[in-house]
Amino acid sequence: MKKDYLLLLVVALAAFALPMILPGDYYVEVFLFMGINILVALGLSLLMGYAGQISLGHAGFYGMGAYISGALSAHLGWPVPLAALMALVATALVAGLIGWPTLRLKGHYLAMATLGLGIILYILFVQLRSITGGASGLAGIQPVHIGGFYLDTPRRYCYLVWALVILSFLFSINLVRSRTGLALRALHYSEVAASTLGIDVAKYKLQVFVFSCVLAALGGILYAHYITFISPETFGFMYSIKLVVMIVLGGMYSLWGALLGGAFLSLLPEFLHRLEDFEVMVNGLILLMILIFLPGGLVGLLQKIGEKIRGHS
Amino acid sequence: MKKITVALLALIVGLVWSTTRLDAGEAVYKIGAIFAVTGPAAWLGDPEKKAAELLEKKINEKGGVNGMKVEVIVMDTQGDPQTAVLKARELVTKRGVMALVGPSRTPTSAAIMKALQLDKKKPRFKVPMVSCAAGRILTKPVKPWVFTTPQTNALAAERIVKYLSDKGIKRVGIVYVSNGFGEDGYENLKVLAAKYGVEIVGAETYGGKDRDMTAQLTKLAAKKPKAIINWSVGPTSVIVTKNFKQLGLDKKDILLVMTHGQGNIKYVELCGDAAEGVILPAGKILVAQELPDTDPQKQVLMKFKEMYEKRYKEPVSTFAGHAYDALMLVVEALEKGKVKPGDGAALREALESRTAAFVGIDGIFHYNPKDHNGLSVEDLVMLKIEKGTFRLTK
Amino acid sequence: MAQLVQYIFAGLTMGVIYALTGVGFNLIYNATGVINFAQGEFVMLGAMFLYTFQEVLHWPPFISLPLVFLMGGLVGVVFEYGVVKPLIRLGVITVIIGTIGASVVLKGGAMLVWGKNALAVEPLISEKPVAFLGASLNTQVLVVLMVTAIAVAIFWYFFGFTILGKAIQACSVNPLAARLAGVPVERMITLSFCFSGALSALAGGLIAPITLAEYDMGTMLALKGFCAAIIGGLGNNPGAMVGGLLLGVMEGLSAGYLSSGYKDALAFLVLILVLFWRPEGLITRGKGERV
Repeated sequence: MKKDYLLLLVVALAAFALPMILPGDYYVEVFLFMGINILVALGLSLLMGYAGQISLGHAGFYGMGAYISGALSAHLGWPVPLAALMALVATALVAGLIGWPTLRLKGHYLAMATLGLGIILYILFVQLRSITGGASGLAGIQPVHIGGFYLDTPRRYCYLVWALVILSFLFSINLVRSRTGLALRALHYSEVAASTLGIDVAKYKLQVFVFSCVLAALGGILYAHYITFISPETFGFMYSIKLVVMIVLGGMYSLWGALLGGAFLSLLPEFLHRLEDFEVMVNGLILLMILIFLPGGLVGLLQKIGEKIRGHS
Repeated sequence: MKKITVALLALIVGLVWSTTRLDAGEAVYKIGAIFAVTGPAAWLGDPEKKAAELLEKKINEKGGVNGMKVEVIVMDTQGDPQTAVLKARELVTKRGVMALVGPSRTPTSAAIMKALQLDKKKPRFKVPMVSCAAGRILTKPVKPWVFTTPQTNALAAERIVKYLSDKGIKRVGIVYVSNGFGEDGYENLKVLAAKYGVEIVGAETYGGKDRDMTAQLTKLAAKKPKAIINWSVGPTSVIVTKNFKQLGLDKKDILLVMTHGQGNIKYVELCGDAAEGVILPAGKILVAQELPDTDPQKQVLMKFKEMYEKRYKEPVSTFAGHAYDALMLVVEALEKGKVKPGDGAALREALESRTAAFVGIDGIFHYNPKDHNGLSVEDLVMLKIEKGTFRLTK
Repeated sequence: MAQLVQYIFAGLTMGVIYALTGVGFNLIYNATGVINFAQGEFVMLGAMFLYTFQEVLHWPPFISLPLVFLMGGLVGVVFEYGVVKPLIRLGVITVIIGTIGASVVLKGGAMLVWGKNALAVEPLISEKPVAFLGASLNTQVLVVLMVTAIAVAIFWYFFGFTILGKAIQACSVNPLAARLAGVPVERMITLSFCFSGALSALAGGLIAPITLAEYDMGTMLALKGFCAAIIGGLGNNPGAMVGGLLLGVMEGLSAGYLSSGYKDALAFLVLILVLFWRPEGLITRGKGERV
């Protein structure tokens, strides 16, 4: 566990240094979006790795964050922190409502329910035109500022995003170490055994689910107030799928899997876009290859390499 | 633990390394072109990309612009706003382009406009964008650094309503796809119908992936309209046309009206017989041969049509025309304004004030400080589909 | 009245498509417990195959359609060997992600082979719709309905009354026990994939004249088919049939009487409500839980 904190320190230092080292706004922006992806993926990683549940609708929660905060800021002129807080609370409530009944059942009912909810939310983003601006998108969202200091360049905003990523990781590491985390681990091995030990399985699962949705909403809020324009396609089913893929690629049973998977999928287009029309297919092939040949994901690969190095020395 | 640190370092090194390949600064005009080449709007982005690549070659074969070569760097938005923003940022800050051509659709264009602050008077990067999308948000009110080429939905709506009202059709029903294009069309129709005294008896929507619209059409037909206007692009418009025929609405004396989104012979081919008698407003490229020789656009249209069809062995569409206009307007501005490579601010000035009466594919453009679309209702003609081809209506 | 019938017809048109996709889901779910996200791509490939045979090569339907069926079966088998076999030992979630990867590969591949534009396929019988109670129905829908009914009848007979069918059924209920009883479980799983691929491809070929063939038509079909399967109770084939038709008709009616913009939302709302109140599906017998 100590090494998790150390690792986080390394990540924090890297996140502090990178925006200064990276030449030009473009790479800083790639790093910024990477941060948002990792933030959303982190929550999902807790849910998948520690509560053994999948959400196929996280893009919907990501969108809820973006749209609630964005609409409050654009239509009613609410200050960003207040609008953001409201969005987080609302998302937590909706997550609780959907999680409460489905998490009491065994099996992957949460996955199916979230899949449906994600699509319903997407339709609401399109149809509630007076609030969301409909398919044409919502403009007029306020940028983030501290007094007169506007975080409106990629470099400045990048620090905000990564500060929140580091904080969320810190919180998640603590969560994993806490009673909840231990209970969750127990329940991962055997739900029946865990419940006989008096662990309220459903309650813990619900807590993790709500937390993961709140992180997704936070990511959405960050996205909305950075671009200051949002439209529904950003929050569609394909993003939900992309998130799940991030977790599996990175490694499902470690929080660091979210970091590596999120980073990997955010960077992949940089290397593939020269393939033009072949990009889509190669994307899928890479995913399949990693699944088949690297069962522990990228984290597993690194661990293996580490063991090899240690074995030689 | 150690290994993860190593990996992170490797990642950082890799990132930094990949940025070191900076392009040497030769005297060329670098123009970024971003279209939805893959993804759900690929049928739109693909011809646009083809047109841009073809024109780059042709321009350079003729000795370039102001004696310098033009380099068009094409990128793919995949129809996704976030990707679009990243690609635009890459083009502007890393590849050093002086203008952006595209993207194909309104949400991606709007996201770029906001992220690069092209709606501000003084953005950080002075790069004008000539978008191939038609949404109102891009041009109303005028955004200093954003221009568009397609005929706006407002113009198309006006053309349609004018035509219907001339024919004495005063009751219409509307179906539209629930995306930016459809919504914008519907909003415009509402305004213009009121202006011309045409009554809208009902409006129904459908999703972009829906494949049966008989329910929506039935509901509308029950309200006895004289015409049904469909506002969408892509395969959904084909389904609407087929469903309209299947329900026999053409025999109930209802006219089916499509939009400039169907400005593509593929639409007619996909519909087969069902397309017979459909009316639509469109740019003149689809009926270039039929135009009188006195039409100022005829020469330009015929030349582009031949060039495109010879190179790609597929019929030219109005979509390819949007990209032609966007790129050629930039070229025109570069020439007329004697703009130096890399000077985006001067290019913007020239686009706004030196391209007057540019004869393009979508029409004759009159960009000015108050209008960054610059087309008028006259640039659209009403077409009728007869025996599998587009014909001018009399 | 004519209007109501027309809405129901509109629903049936889409409903049969959902139903067939739903049954495809079930076949694989029953054999492996995996929810196959590439199911929609199987349907898409079927549509593309039929386009190739019928519109490009101009083969008659009685050759093209069986060929589409066979090709679909082949796709199913290749899919099982290439994606499912190497991953199944890593757990169901990994296989599910694998099917997502495979769906991306199939979609990307189809885009390269058949291009980005939608393609038109001629209907089997005629373009002329049939009139009924003042409403009109696409003839092709009748063809799809008929084929679907035949397929379900065959499956019903196969799983209920033949040794092979019962063996497959046994594998899904308890693989270990089936293995002990001498059933070659692996081969049965392969067979399930073969059936699922073949059926979905056939469905794709049949619906192509109604929906057009397009490289990215799979995702939405998969989602709705999945919806149908859950409403009918995951794993239950007649359930998926009824679920699909129900879903379609519900969509048709809500587009007609409520709001066309929200009709998809309604479908998924029903999905969630079913999960809350009857997670075993609307159309299912009470079933003991597997431990």
